[in-house]
Amino acid sequence: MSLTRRTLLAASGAGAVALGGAACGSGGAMDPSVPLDIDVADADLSGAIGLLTPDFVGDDRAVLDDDIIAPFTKRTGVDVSVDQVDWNKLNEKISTGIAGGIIADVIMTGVGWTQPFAEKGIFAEIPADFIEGLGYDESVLVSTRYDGRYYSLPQALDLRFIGFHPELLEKKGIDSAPESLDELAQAAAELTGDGVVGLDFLSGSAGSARQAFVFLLYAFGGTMFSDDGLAPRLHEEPGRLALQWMLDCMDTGAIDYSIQAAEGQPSPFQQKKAAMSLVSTGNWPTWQTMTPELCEKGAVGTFLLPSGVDADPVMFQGGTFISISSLSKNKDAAAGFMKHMLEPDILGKASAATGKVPPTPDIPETEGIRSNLLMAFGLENLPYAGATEGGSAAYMEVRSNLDGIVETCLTGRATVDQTLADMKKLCDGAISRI
Amino acid sequence: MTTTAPTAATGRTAPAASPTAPEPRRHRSVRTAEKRWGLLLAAPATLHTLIWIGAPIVVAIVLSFTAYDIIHAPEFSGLENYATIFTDGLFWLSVLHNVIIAAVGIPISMFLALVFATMLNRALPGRGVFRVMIFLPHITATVAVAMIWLWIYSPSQSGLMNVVLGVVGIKPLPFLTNPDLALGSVILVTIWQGIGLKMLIYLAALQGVDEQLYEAADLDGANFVQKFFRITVPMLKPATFFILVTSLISNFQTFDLIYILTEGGPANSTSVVTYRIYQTAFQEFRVGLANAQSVILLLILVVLAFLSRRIVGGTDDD
Repeated sequence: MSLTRRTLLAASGAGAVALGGAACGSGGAMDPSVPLDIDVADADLSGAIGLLTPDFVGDDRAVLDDDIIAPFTKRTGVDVSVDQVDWNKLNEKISTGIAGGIIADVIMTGVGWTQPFAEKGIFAEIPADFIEGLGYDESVLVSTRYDGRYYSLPQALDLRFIGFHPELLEKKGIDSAPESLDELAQAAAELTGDGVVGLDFLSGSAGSARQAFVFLLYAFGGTMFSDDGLAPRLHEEPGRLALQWMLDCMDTGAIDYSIQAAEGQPSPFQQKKAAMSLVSTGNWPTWQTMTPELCEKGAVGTFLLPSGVDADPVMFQGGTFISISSLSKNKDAAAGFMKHMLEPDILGKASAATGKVPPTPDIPETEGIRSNLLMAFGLENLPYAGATEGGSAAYMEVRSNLDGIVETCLTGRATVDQTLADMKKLCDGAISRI
Repeated sequence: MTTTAPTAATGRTAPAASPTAPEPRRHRSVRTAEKRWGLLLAAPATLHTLIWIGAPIVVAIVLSFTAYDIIHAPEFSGLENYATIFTDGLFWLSVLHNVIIAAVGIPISMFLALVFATMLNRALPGRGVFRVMIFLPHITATVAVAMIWLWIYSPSQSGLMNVVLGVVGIKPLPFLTNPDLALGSVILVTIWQGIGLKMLIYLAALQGVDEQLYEAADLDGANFVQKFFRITVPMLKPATFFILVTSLISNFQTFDLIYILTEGGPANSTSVVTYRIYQTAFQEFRVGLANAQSVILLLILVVLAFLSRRIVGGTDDD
C-alpha cells in the first residue's frame, strides 16, 4: 500500500477527531445512579477506599491514621488511603479528580459546598432516616441538604467570634464587650497605636476577606442568597454596610489590610500585635503549640460579633462535612467509613485533635475537649451560629471569585457601589448556569 | 546570466538549477522514492505531533464552543464563551498583568543576561562558577524557587528582604500581600529566574561572533562601548529574537510561580492568564470557557511572536 502525504494527514486527522470525541464524551460516562446503602454490615465490607480531607494536617495526621482509620480497618478489613489537601486547594482537587477519573470515595468539604456538588451529581444522596436518627440539631443540618435531600453530614463545626487580650483593653479603660458594631469600631480605633492594631479582621488566621465580609453581612442582617438559592442578596444594603464598616475601620487604622503573619509563624493576635481578632475554635491547637500562654484561663477574652442592626450578636459557622462520592466504586465501604467517622468516640478524638466543635454534644468528654476554652465558648453560644457561607448551588463559582472582589474594594481599587455590582453580576452569572 | 547561491549545509556556492529545465525520468523516480522515504521517516514525529499536540489543540478548539462542566457531557453553545470573554474584566486584567510582567521583566532580564554573558565570555578567574550560579535558578524547580522567594518576601522580620530593609531603617514591607507591591515582587522573581537561560544562549551566540570583526574595530580605534553596540549587539540579533520570542511565550505560560506565591492575589493584582484559565476550569467548573480562554491565549502568542519578529527583524533562518 502506498503511503501518500494526503493519506497520512487524513489518518492523523481522523485519529485526532476520535481522540477529541473520546475526551468530550468522558464526562457522560460517569454513572452516579448506584444508590447508597447505609445498612451494610461491617462483615460484608471489603476492598479499599480513598479519603480526601483538608483537616488533620501536621501532627493531627497521626490521630487520623492511628485513632480513626486504624480501628475501622481492623474491624472491617477495608483499607483507607488518605489524600490530604489544603482548604484553598480542595475545590481544584475535587474537580481535577473528576476530570482525571480519580475521585476519592469519601470527601470532606466545608459549609456551603454541599449544594453545588450535590447539584452537579458528585455527592451521593444519604438516606434521610439515617441522618434523622442521629439526633443532630436542625441548625447544623441546614447546610447538608439540597433540594430537600441530604448529601452530607457535619463531622465538625468551626465556630468563629472575636477574641481579645484583656490587659490591652484594660489599659485603654475598656471594661466591657462592645454591644454594637459601632462600639466595636470605636474600641478598635482606641486600641490602635504603639505597634498594635485594634482589630485583626483580615489576616487569614481565622478565615479570609470573603469570610470576614460574610460574617459582617449577617451581623448587618443580610444573607448571601434568597431562601431558594436562586437570587443573590449579598449586594443589598447589608452588604453595603458590611463593606463600608470595614473601610471605615481601615480609615482609622483599626483594621490593617496588610497585617499578615509569615507562613508557620504565630498570628498577629498571638503575637499581641492585634488587641482583638477574629478567632476560630480551630485556632486552639495552634495556640497550644505556639503560644501556650494564651491557653491559660483568663489570658484571652471572647465575645460574639455584635449586631449592626440592634439584633442578636452572631457567630460564624464554618465546619467540615462528610460526603460520599456518587462515583465511588465501593460505596458500601465508603458509607461504613462515614458512619464510623460519626461515632461519638471517634468524633471526640477528631475534635480533640483539630480543635473543632463536634456536631453533637453526645460525645465522651476528653481532656483535649475540656481544656479548649474556645470550644467551650462556641458550644455555649451555638444558637447564635447563624452566619454561614453558601446557600445556593452556584456557591462554589461565587466562592472562588468573591475573595478577589472583596479585596479589590478593601484596597481601594473599586468603590463600594462597583463592588456590590460586581458581586451581583458574579452571582447572577453563576446562578444562571445551574 | 548564471547566478550562485550558498548551500545551506556548506556555505559554498553552487550553480542554481534552472526552474524550467526538464528533469530526466530516472531522476524523477529517485526523487519520488526519496519523498516516500522522507514521509516514512517523518511519520513517527508527525504522528507524535498530531496525537499529542495537534489533537489536544483540536479538542480545545472544539470544547471552546461548548458549555462543559467536567461532569456532564459538553453541549454546543456557539460563540457564547467568546462573548463571555470579552466582558470578563478579570481575564483582561490577567492579560494586562502578563503584558506588564513581559514589558518590564523581559527587557531587564535580557539586558542583565547580555551583560553577564559578555563579562563571562572573557577569561575571568572562576567564570565557570559564576556561569553555574547564574544558570542555577533556571534549572531549579519553580516550586522550589517560589518557596525560596516566599521566605525572602516573608512579611515578618525573618524574611531576607525585610532583614535587608531593616538594616537601612525601613520597616518590614508586605511584598506579597499589598496589591501595590505584589506584581513588582513577582516580576523580580521572574527576572531572577529568567537570567540564567538567556545568559547561556547569549554566551553560545557570542562564541560565534567572528573575532576578526573586533580586531578590525580595534584597528579603527573603537572603544568597548562602540564595539558592544556596533558589533556585539547586531551580531546577536538572531539570538535576541529567539530569546525574546521564547521569553514572551514562557511569560504567558507562567502558572506555578503565581499559584504558589500569590494565588493571583491580593485583590487579583497578580492574576495571570494561565492562572485565570485554571480558575475558570477547576474552581468554577467552566471548562468550555477555559478552553475558549486558551484559544485566545494561543492567538495572543501568535500575534506577539509576529510582532517580535517585526520589531527585532528576525529572518527566515531565525
